[in-house]
Amino acid sequence: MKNTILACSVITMALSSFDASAWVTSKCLGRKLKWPNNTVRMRASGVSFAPGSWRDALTDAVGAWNKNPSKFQWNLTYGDSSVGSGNGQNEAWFTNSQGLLKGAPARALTKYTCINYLFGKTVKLKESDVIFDAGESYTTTKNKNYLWEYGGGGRSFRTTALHELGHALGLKHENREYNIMGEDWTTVNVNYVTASAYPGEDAGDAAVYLYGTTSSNRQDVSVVHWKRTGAKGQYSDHSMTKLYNSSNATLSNYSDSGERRYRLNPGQTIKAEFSFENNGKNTQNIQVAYYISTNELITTLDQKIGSSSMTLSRDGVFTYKKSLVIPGNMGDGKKYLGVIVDYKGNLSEVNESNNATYLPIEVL
Amino acid sequence: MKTKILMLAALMVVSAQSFSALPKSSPLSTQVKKAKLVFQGKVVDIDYRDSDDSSKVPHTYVTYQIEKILKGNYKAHKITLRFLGGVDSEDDFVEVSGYPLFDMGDRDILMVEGNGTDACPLVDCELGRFRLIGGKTYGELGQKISLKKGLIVRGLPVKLKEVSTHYLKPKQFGKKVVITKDESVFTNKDSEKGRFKKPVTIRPTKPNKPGRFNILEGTELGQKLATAKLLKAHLPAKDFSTYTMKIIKRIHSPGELKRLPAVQSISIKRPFKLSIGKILSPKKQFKRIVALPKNRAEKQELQLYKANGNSPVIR
Repeated sequence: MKNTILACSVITMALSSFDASAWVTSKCLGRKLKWPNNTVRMRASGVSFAPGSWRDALTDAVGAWNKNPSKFQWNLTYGDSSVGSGNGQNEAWFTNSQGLLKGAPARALTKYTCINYLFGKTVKLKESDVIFDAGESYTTTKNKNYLWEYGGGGRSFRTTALHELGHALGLKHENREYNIMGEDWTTVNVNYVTASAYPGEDAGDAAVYLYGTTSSNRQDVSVVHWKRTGAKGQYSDHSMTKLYNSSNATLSNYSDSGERRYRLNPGQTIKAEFSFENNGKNTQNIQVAYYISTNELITTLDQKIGSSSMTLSRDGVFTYKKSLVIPGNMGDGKKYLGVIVDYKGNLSEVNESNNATYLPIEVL
Repeated sequence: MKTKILMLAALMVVSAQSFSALPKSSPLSTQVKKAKLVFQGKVVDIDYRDSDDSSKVPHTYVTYQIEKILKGNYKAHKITLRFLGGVDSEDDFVEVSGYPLFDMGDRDILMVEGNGTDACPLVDCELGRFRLIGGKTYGELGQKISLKKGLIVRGLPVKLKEVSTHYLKPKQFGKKVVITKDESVFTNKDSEKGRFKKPVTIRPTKPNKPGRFNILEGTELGQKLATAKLLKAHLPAKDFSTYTMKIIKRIHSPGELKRLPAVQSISIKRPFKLSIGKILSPKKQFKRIVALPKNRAEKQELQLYKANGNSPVIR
């Protein structure tokens, strides 16, 4: 180390220039700042992640990352008895240190080398620790009724863990796209009462940029009732998608159990807005169908009212309004306007449970 | 058009609401109240030291020439603040997500708390730093700062050399390491073009009527702007300073300001240990409830859905 010559090293916060994704990573000496190996161990504190719901939630988050379309994989181990920064191990734990967290529900500490030796450059991540705030109102439940934005008081631990694990593999904050490195707790797919956290297309694309495309046949398309609506500092700001009339004005609505419920009439032409993502390896030509359901569980057993075919590439989240006519024979009352991506089940996916979501409606 | 909408959207986003962003931010008045010292100054020295424990985690010592003290009991002309992160004794770099990066010559207004005790001695860490560049006020990443009713409004980052370039001074080698941030162009892809196998007819939208917010007409954002008139000018540095002074005078009596405890500068010679707090088990949670299906058909649908591995495509 001491014999090295450190010339001016240039680290570049760079976005890929080859597509319209919006992620941010770092470059140092013109090289991507990433792990030298594609499989990286993350050790969970035995105290913070004892067997139980917190360990299960962290395992879920790691599992979600490991479905990404890149070669990168986390190897999660449990029971680490001596966590701490600077020990050369990647670790995750909960703490009460507000002096460290300073208002954030979690922080990631990343150590890296960027040296221009006489015989070549060395650029690599060396250690990443993820530190969660034990005082944050985290919840490990997937039941949306307990989550912020759905009328609950809990912050999804899974989404925050996904965000921090994103930092740990080399991603920075991003505010230009609907993505997990922005506002994490609204990066969820919801069908029925289940809110599933996932890295999403943008972060998956960043992982591919850093680590290359997986050799496995890892395909995944998804749909959510969230979209990017702005930026909050370094973070993208997300809001629920909407229903519009044919003139693109938001339909009349009211708050119902923490969600917006839209009033519409039988025979009315509306536009249903949802965000579609390709979280997988290859571009897909996908068939999408829209449904009316009596409950928030959207399946192909519900009443189909329209369909589309679209091409989803891993090049940016696609928030799209579909024009639909509300049938006249569906009866009045509270219902749900659903959407299923790949509704014929043609694509074999690593995650089939993120293919449907809904917006609440009331038929007058 | 879309670019304008995005820019305006960014400008009007209020980042200072509870739970609004990953690091919780707060109204400026809350930040000012929490701060033990608020000052405007210029960075005149940067150095590093590893913590004096087995972890040997590097810290950055940032020394400011104080130009103006807005709040606080501090008499000297310079102050040194200690931040977790920086260059360690082996010339490796440690970064903490969301922590600010400082360079020689930077001019800032800082909300200081916990210098020498906290890993980041600023209120809400990076949100407690307001950069003064070219007579204007920016956030840590170059976001334009404006104010609305005491809330800080942060726009999308602006490309600025002062923000995009960061220097690290290795301990073993004399030459500085230059870090540059480079933002690429992002194209909004929310367009139907190229997405559909079959051609899709897009109905042309009505032309906008003359008026200030017309490019946002018909959007929720446009409605908000029209009603709240939230759009405010990018704050000049002197106005931000003046506004902060007004807040200080409003929330503190002269007596309170005089009785504030003295703030200390941190010497790089002073040994210290990194405190990561206690390793804890997270707090207990509430029990899970599951909404029950309302009728037999819904119950059967749920059973099929679960039997299908939660795939909505039930054959």
